Amino acid sequence: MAKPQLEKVVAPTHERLTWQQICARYPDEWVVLTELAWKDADEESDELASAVVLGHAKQRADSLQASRATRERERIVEYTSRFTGPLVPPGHVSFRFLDL
Amino acid sequence: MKVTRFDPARELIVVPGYVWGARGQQYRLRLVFDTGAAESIIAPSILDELGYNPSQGEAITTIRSVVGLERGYMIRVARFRALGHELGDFRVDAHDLPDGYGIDGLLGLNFLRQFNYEIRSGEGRILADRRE
Repeated sequence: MAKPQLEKVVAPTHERLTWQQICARYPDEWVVLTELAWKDADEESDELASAVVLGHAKQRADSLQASRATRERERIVEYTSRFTGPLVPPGHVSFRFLDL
Repeated sequence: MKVTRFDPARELIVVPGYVWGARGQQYRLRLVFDTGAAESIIAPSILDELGYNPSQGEAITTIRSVVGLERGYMIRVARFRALGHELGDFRVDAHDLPDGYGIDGLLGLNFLRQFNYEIRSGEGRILADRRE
C-alpha cells in the first residue's frame, strides 16, 4: 500500500466554514473538524451547520494524523472527523456485513 | 426520557455519539443504530487517536466480511455517550468498517439492551430511557 502524501493533507485553516462549503472544498474526503455548530444548536442532531477544518485526507486515519500536531499544539480536545461524500457508497444496498 | 433525532430518509439510522479518551479528549461519533449487532463498534483509527491501543484490549475478535475474516479487538473506553445517555468503562469492539461508508461505528445491543427505546421512523425520533 502506498504511503499517504501528507504534504497534501495538512491544511489547517482556522476558518469557520459551513458544511456545504467544506463538502465543496474537500469532496469525497475525510475532514477533521472542531468548533462544531449544529443545526438549530441541537447537539443531538446529525445536521452539521458549520465547523473549523483542522485537516483532510482520503482516508480517515490519514486525516486524523494530519491534524494531530495542530490539535496538540492548540490543546483542542473536542473534535470529530466526517466524510464529505455519501453516507453509503453508490450501489451498496446493504450495510450488513457483520458475523460476530 | 431522552430524545434523539435522525433523518428517516437516509439508508441507515444514524445517531450521534461521543467517546472520550483517557486524557479527556472528546470525539464526536456518527453511529449506525443497529439492533442486529451484538457489540458496539468503533473504527480503530479513532480509538488510536484517543490514546487507546490493542495492548489494552480484552480479547481479539474476528468479523466475517465479504473479503474474508478481519481481526479487531475488544477494549473498554473511559466514557461513551449515545441516545442522550452516558456509560463509563464501556466495552467496544475496535474494527474497521467497509470502505466508502461515512460512519464511525455501530451502536449495538451491548449498549441498547441497557435501555428501553422506541424508534419512531415517521417522526425521525428515538426515545430512550434507562431500564429500571
